[in-house]
Amino acid sequence: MNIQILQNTTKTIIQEIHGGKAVYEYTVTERAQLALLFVVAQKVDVEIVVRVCLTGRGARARIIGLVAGRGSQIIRIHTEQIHEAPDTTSNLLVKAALYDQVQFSYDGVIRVEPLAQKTDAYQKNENLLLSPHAHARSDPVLEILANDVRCTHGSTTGKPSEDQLWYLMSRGITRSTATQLLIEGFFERAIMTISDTIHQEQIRKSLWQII
Amino acid sequence: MQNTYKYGFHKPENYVYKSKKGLDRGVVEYISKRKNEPLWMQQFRIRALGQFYHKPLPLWGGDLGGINFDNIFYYISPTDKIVSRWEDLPEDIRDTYDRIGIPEAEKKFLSGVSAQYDSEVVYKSIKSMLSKKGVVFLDMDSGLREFPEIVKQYFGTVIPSGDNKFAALNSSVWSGGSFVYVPKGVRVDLPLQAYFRINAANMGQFERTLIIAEEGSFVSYVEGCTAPIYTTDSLHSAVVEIIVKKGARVRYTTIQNWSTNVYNLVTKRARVEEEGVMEWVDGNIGSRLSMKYPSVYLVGRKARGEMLSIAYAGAGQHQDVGAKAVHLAPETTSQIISKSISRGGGRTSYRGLVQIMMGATKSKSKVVCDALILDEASRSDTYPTMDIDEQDVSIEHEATVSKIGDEQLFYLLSRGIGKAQAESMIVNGFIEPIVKELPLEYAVELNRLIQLQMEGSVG
Repeated sequence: MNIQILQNTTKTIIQEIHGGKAVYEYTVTERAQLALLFVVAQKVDVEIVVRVCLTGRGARARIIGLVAGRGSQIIRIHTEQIHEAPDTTSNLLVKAALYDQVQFSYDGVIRVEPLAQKTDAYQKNENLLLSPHAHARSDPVLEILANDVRCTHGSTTGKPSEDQLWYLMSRGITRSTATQLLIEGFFERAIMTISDTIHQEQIRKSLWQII
Repeated sequence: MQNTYKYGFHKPENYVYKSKKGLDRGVVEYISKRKNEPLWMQQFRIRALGQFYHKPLPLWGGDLGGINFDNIFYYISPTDKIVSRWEDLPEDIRDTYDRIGIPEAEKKFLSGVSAQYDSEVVYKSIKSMLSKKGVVFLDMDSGLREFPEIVKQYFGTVIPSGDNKFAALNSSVWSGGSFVYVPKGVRVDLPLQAYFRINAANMGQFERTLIIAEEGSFVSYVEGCTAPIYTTDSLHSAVVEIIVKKGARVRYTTIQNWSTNVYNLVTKRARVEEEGVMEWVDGNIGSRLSMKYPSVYLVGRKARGEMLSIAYAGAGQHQDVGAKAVHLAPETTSQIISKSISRGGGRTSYRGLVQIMMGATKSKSKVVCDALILDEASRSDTYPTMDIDEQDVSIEHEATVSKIGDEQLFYLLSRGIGKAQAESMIVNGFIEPIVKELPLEYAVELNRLIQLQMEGSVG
């Protein structure tokens, strides 16, 4: 599947991933803007490739991936941000909440081709481990062949913050409710960036089944 | 081929013995026999040779296609015996060292110099103070002769001969390197230093270093190398094993400045026990291709690993370097800071691993990689891998790739500083956090080298 975002247009795509293997490709052309949000919240194994090519000058892409896993699921997510044209911007955020024995692996590439000067690319992966048996692997890769660029990536993996839990508990909230609130908040920050409230509700509905 | 390498002189070869090119069981047996080694070491070498044949070349990393294993001398011995006084060294060897400034280093009261000329350590001096404390600082061959029991106990335990193809190669033909043993509770206040040098066309150096720091001890080891230039490709494949016992601290500093035809494929690893600290400070300036990932295996509670890495890649160079931290015990911590600069078509790659094994609860790791790309022809990559099998941990990674900031440059230019000088000031500032961790003479040399490289970048 390849979706093209035409010149000078703006498009928001919400993609729910239902399991199995799939490749999602998006081409963002001159001065086009893509806001992509994909949600992985089904109790089945998932292996997906999300490829975003910025082929025209001034193209912009914002990519958000939200993952909630339970049981003995295996979730593999591979993302590519390919900058082929100058003055392009991409911003990626993948958030995962992992329960039980879920095995999650994320690998993502930012590739900046020699022609793509003045690229601004960002890639972030945040993983929340909610069970001692959950496993996370994070492989964020940068391949930069142009020089006048700004590319940054970050990755964090950990459990819910004890300080934040303590704060909530000191307000009379039970530990399990407090944990639940923190997990919802973890996703909420990303969901809020989508302007359409109907889309927001749709995303919450899928995620809340799992968390 | 245009070579501007500063130390690109070489002396006529004058060797007592030079084995034939290429590698087979005969060469390995000859090396072992000539060194009069115990049987177990000979068997270790032969087993490793089999593993070397068996292992494939790594498919990741840099281009290793230029190495012809049949076109390398695996053993050369420049002099028959080790001399302990500077004056006793053969003149041409002394001359070579003069040019890279070893006597100056001596003047600076360095605690001990063990200088490697080709495959064997020919010169060493140990201050009596060290010996009195029971500290052993020998070349590896002497170490094996004088302390066979200690060597047998630890040799190949941190990096097994079959770890990778190049570790296997080193295990079968190793020669030279250092053996350091620090007894319980002893602090070695001055850094131990060894100089390495390759001086035969197509000569591979396969030095082997083993450092053992007993409980509560401290030692800092400094390895620096600079090699004369040759038009045929050279291979350097070392193995460094370090054992950090409970509460001990070891710092290992390397500045690598091989000429740009050398393949530098090195395996360095430390095993760190309870509350021990291992620090790798790793600078890669030279070589055609470096593949080097100093590692810490944190096996005891509260063990800590720190890696500082700096890489510079100019024309035709690829620095594929990084660091690995493997957390095997609770409350272990690691920190990796990497800075790289690519220029003139050079390529720098950070390749690293943080692995949290089951049981390593409350572990913490932080990885920071910054890269500067100075022109359009150059390339920079970041390949960090984080593999986390435990919940109660905190793992952070961040990396940034950019060019020299326009605002910074503008600020300096507006103060009347020339562009080349301004750029080199910014680059020196960029690597400052690592340079300040180096011994003074190395820091001065590194700053000067970067400056020289930067000056070459204009016009």
